[in-house]
Amino acid sequence: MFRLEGVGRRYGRGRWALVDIDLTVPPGATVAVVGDNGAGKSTLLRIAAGVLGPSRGRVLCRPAPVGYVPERFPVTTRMSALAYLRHLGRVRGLGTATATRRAEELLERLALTGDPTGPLNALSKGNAQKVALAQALLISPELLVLDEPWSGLDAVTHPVVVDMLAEVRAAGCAVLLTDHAAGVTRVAASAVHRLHRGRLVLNETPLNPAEPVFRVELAGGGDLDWLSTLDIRAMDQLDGHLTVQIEAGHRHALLQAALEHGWLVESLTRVGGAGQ
Amino acid sequence: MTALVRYQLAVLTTSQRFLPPLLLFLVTIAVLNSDTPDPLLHLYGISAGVLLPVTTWLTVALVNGESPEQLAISSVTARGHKRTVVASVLSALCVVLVLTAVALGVPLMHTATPTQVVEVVDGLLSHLTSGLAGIAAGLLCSRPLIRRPGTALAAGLVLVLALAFLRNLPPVNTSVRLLLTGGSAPDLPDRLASDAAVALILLTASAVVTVRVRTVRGVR
Repeated sequence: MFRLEGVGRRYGRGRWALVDIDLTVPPGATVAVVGDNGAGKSTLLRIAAGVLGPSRGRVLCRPAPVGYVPERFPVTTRMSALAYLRHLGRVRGLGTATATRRAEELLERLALTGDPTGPLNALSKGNAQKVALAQALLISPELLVLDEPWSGLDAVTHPVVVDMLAEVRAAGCAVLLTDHAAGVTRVAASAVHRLHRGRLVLNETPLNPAEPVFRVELAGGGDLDWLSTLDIRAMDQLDGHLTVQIEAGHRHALLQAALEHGWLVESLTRVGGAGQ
Repeated sequence: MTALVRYQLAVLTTSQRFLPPLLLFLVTIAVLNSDTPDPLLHLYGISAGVLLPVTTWLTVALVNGESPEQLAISSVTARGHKRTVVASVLSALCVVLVLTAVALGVPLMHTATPTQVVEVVDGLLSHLTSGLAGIAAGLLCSRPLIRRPGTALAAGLVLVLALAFLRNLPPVNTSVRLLLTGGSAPDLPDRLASDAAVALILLTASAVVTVRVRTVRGVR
């Protein structure tokens, strides 16, 4: 199973951008990493995708092929979007005809508004981002790494991308993505982790020692969209059971929303913070 | 690998950054062959010397034709930095072979005296030496090893001038000087071949360093 073990990363002799990261992304799962700007999300994703090597620790069992979508996609080349995708499709092992057909399908589905036969560097930021998404999905990846997939995309494209992610997940692809807000849960992530100053905030390590953290165990519901409006710390979903970590101040809102959406509250435990 | 080389050559040809070095080379060939013909080896020596900066420039244009993010995507698509660097070397080599064919062929159309095959082989070896060394220098002057265009230009100039003009520094200086002065030494092809081998070693070392830096420092 694809996992990062004790991964640390520093650039040159600077500060550590990532410290002791343990992260597992099972096939068919979507793991989301949320965090502020500069928390180390992009570095973590580059290491997961294999663009960057870790300074410490190991990346194990990375599935292939990998699809990688960077946070921004500035292009200097004047090649057209279609030609670019056709070339990358061929690098993936597709025939020219298949690659072209697949590229046209994806661009149409993502509703590229620019000219697909015009130069890439003339596309707007959002349209360039669509091309970046399309190249990762030319073939069915076994690992898909997306750096803030929602940034730069227009709202009408969001559901299309959500559908596309659901399709690759159904095919057994492991998905790892970042977002700077917990809004990422709109894709029904199976686990959400918060990255803070290069460290993954996991179970019993509270972000702010003065603020207690509660673990809420829920069962029975299905639709997870309601979670996107809440500021949750970490989340894990397994066989209809949902474990959510949330700061004390938000726990009533979480319980209320859970009950409204038909979830049963199985337990509410204080796991960290003041008084521990 | 073929698909990757095709992609990189497409990036190069759509960028138009290849035009200045290409024009420099073609003008050199034209000027060399416009007058009463010099001895063939002399012509080959000069064009091989000019091929060094031209190849360095073209290699930088080839590698820097992709933005860092684009290069990251290409490396993931190609399954690793190693394969993208090997593809860059092969793409640059394609260009070197075309330029070498022009440099070797044009004088043959103008010369009145009968040509010996061995002279063309000598010219080929010297051009390959310059080409391989030029690719090696170009890799070291492109992103992510050197990020700023100004620094890349300065480093490229220093590398190319050192390789071309430091007396008896193998492989390019020795190879070109052999053609310009060596004349009819019986072991000329052997000595040219050993210079080409040194250039190949330089290129391998440069490629290994490039893969390592991309992995350790990232592609930015």
